[in-house]
Amino acid sequence: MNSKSDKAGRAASDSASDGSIDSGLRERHGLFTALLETAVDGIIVIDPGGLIQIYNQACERLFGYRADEVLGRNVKLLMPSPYHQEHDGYLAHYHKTHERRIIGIGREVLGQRKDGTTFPMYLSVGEGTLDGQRFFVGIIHDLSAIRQEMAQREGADRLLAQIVQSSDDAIISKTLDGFITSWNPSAERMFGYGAVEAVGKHISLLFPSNRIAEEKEIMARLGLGLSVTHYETVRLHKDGREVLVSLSVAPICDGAGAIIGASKVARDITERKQAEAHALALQDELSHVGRLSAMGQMSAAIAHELNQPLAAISNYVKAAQRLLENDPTEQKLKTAREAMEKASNQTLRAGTIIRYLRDYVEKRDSARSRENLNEVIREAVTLAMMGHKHRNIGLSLTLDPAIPPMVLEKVQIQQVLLNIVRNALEAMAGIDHAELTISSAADAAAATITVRDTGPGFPAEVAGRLFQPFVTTKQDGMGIGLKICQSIIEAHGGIIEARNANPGAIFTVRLPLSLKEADKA
Amino acid sequence: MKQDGWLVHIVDDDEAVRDSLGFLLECNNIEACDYCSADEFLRTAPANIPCLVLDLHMPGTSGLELLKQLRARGLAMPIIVISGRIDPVLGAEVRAAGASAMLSKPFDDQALLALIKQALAMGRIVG
Repeated sequence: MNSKSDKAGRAASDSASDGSIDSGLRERHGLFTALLETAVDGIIVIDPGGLIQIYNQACERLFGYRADEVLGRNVKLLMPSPYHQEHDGYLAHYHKTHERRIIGIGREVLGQRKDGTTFPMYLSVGEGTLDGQRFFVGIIHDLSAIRQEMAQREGADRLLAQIVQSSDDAIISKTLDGFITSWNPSAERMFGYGAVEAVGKHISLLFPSNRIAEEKEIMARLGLGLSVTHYETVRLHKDGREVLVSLSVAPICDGAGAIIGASKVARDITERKQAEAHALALQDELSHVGRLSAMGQMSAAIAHELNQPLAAISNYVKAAQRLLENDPTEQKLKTAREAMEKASNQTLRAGTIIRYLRDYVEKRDSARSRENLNEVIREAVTLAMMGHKHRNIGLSLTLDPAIPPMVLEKVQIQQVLLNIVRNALEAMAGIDHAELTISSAADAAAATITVRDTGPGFPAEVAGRLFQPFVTTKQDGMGIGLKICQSIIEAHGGIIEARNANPGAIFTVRLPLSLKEADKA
Repeated sequence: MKQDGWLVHIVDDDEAVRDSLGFLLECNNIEACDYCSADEFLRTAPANIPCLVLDLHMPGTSGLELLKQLRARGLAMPIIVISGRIDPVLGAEVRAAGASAMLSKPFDDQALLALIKQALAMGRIVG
């Protein structure tokens, strides 16, 4: 023991340790000292005037005063205002009236440390008499740790409650047998019942009659300790309308780990579902708009393309006219016939251009038909090459004749191919060894179309995002072309992929062979 | 009956246009020599040309670029530009670059023949 403790143990007016007492007394004194100094709670003894007689080691820790600083001083030193000012009055009042307010009882009060800070404590006060002299014993139990823990727990509870209250999702708890025990404001918004109405009712309140069985399945999973996450289903609003919800249900356990109920988080996905349907419709529209917008860019090119055969036709016909003037020779007649033949071929060329154009622009109702995939590819490539400065581009078409007829929406598939091929042509503009390789092949399940160019490939920053809308490498591009392509191919149950081929890029379109005419595109 | 020195050079990337135009000119006793690109023309054409019929939109060197190059070299021969796609801006550019005349495809054969004959006759007087 250090000297400080000895001092504390001795107490201010102690005269029992002067060596003149017998061994029994000495033993008792030793026990008393040990008791004081090992006590976890603070122990203070004051005389009737309030002056501190005994002040144990625990008190030094609690109040920050050493024993020698407080012994003999008024105990009010250890009290904050207003007890500090009033304590002398309390004592005087007690001496006069013997009316007990704290003595023999105890209560929660504040203590004041040497540094002026205060702390909560439970103070019990006893009264005794020694040698005809009255004294009071105060036992001080520090409450600060408990208080702090309680405050933390309350804070956490309050936070949790706030989260639950402010959540956009409905959060409901229920007992194992399905009775609602809590109901947050979002639950009220989503299902129309107020908390007062809902709590205590059975959860089946929210179930459409044809889905009552779901509750049993959910509870069975919970019984096994499993959760249910993002389960999309239908519940009923108070007014009878259906609410599309995504449910997550988890077991609630008591302190011992036993399952005592379930918490249920419901997200209203009615709007999301509507938005999805809307997006689909929009995509349909967008696909048409995309066609028209690409049309705008293409129309000038196509007009140019159309003017070539028209110019040729005019030249041939005028030349033939010239040949037929003034009693032509047999040779001139023959040449004129050849010219007419060539003119006729050019009218066919012009007609083909116009037919492609019309197929491309028209928005057709989703209509699938049995098609020769290679023919579809050939036409799309012809259209894509049209109006392009493709003289210096090597084109190789390797089409597998063994591909069986396929059910598909021809114009849409052609739009995809057109888009890919035109992208490839643009990518190869001004490149020395420009080669476009297009091939088709089939296995048992699917046909694969591959379009490869020798352009610069995709920059790394867009390579992974090519099929997201509004991603583009073109300065004036909208970045919706490939997104539309993807939706078309996916509507056919297929896959479209793009990767760098070094040099160039490869687009792969896989279409299942098994599509039925009845499937909607 | 062909007239001496009545030779027109044609630069156009469209085969049908080249073939039909050459045929039309031949039927009008004008010889034609054609090229499928401006680059081919630059590589193989002789230095002195009486008349050039030039398409605008071609892969590689465009008709407009060829026109500018020839004028930049101080070559003053008549150049008749033909195109399937001429807008006002492009038209102004072609004129500014020194084209003798401009025709939209398809064009009237008499208009073209008149321009060519005028060009060749002028070249004959100048030459």
